[in-house]
Amino acid sequence: MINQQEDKDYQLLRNSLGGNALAQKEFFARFSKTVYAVCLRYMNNEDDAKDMLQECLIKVFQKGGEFRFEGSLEGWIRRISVNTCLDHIKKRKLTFTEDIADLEIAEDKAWNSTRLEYNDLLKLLYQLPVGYRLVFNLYAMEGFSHAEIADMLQISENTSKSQLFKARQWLKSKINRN
Amino acid sequence: MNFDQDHIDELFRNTLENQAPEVPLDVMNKVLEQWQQLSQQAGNTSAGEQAVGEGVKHSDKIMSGAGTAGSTSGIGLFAVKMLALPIMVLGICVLAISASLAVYLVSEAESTSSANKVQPLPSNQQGSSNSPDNASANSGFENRANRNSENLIQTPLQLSENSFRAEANTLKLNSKPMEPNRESALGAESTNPKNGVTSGNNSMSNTRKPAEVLQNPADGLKSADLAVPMQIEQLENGWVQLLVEGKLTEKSYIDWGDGKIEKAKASVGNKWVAKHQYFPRSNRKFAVVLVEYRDIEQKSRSILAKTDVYIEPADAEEIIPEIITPNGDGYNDEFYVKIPSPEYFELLIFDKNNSVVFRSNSPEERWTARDKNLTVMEGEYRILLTLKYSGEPSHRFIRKRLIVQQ
Repeated sequence: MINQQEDKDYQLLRNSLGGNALAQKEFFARFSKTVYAVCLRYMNNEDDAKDMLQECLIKVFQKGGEFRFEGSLEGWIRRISVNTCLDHIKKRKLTFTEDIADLEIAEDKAWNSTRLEYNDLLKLLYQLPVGYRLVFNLYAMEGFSHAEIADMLQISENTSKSQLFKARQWLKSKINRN
Repeated sequence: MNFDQDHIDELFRNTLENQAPEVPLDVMNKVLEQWQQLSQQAGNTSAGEQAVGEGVKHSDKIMSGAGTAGSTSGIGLFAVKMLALPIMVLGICVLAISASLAVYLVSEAESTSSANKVQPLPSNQQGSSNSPDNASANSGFENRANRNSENLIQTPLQLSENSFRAEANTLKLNSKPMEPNRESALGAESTNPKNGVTSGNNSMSNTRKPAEVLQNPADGLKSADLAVPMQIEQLENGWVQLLVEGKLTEKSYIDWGDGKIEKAKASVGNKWVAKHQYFPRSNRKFAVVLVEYRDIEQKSRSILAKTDVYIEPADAEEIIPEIITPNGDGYNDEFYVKIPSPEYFELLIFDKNNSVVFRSNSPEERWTARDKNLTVMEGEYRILLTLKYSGEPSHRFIRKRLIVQQ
């Protein structure tokens, strides 16, 4: 049996790519939040996340023709967003520090949202060095394996494992303290 | 609290995925604009002398964009599609126009007796002009007519009948249950602060009721002691209207007490009006202060007038019906949304095939769920509501299911 939601999503993508402004709006409403959530996790501030959101959504649209209309469209959009974020981050040289012990806690940034829990966690994520954050995002949030992450970031599997371990340790210590 | 490592993953996954904030409105507009450009470019390139494969792909997209093709696997028709492409592009335009025309015609036919609620509005009406109070009366109506003039929808005849219709409309509305409280029309006959239109001549003034909350010279200050007499009136949905008599200077500002400070704009003579909407989460008092800044840095200020206003959150309630019964009995015959006046409003209603059956940029407009022949289109629909109130950081999407049943 064909999944109805997926069928609707496919139709929405087709109509959007065809230039139907209403479909594009619906498409935006349906998927933009997912993409924004990804961008907020990979970038380390809200402004960059907003820029990235725009870039990702344009990319999704440009690559829309390559979608094979099988599997989850949302998953596909998420993959594109993650890859776009990674490409952006990898433009700068990545460093995977081994020592996280004396990581400073940045000053609280003012956020215009009332969802404290969300922002608390996001802030913690932002305080992680970029390498830790990437690995944690890819493994814990996106569900990639260490082998896949190693391949994506051009690091060894062991580095990936140790980065994840330390990121978790650090996050855990912060959360348990609060 | 003690988390093991899997819990850490889960906590982050759940929270950061499910509680993500809404996308900022400015990004939405930028992206939608670029998408439009991209899809237009795609259309152009395939219409030109591009590679065949590309062209097929694009024409496929456009075919389905017009809602004609259920699947994109029409392999045998490459050449036909290539040729048909420019025609299809034209076809889309025609379809779009006729669709919106059809929606308009349906609503127009339905509402000969209450014309002012069905006028389709242009999409960019971000100002205060779509607040329900002045939209139902003369000033708002003229305003709307001006904005519509490009569309050539409104005829002079309709304009001349404004006041009559507005009144008839009010009467009709008052006889219905579940209706927004139209008595707020009391605010509409005074000077509209945004455009300076003065309109205060029709029978609406009879409906003016004494202000509910009011005039509460606070903290021992008496009005007479203050430089400027000021009066505040409460309208519906958290809106208040401030009436001030006195001269304004360049440094005059209104501090609404909820964090918003806006420059006081002068209008006709010594009297002027300002409007503001509150979004209280509970009953509370706001101190409204008219101030004059003494220095440019806006550090020291002198208070010209001060008054308190009490706002109840019930005023700012959103009611979105989930079912309507267009059987003509006067109860729930039409679909509309009861919400506080938003800064941005867009309502789309989709049918089962995902095509838009109704579109509106005003909470005032109603959907009758009837086709051209006034036959009720029963069934299940989906609603997509895009909302932003002034003071909210970003817009919100509200999705709901709507059942139409006679």
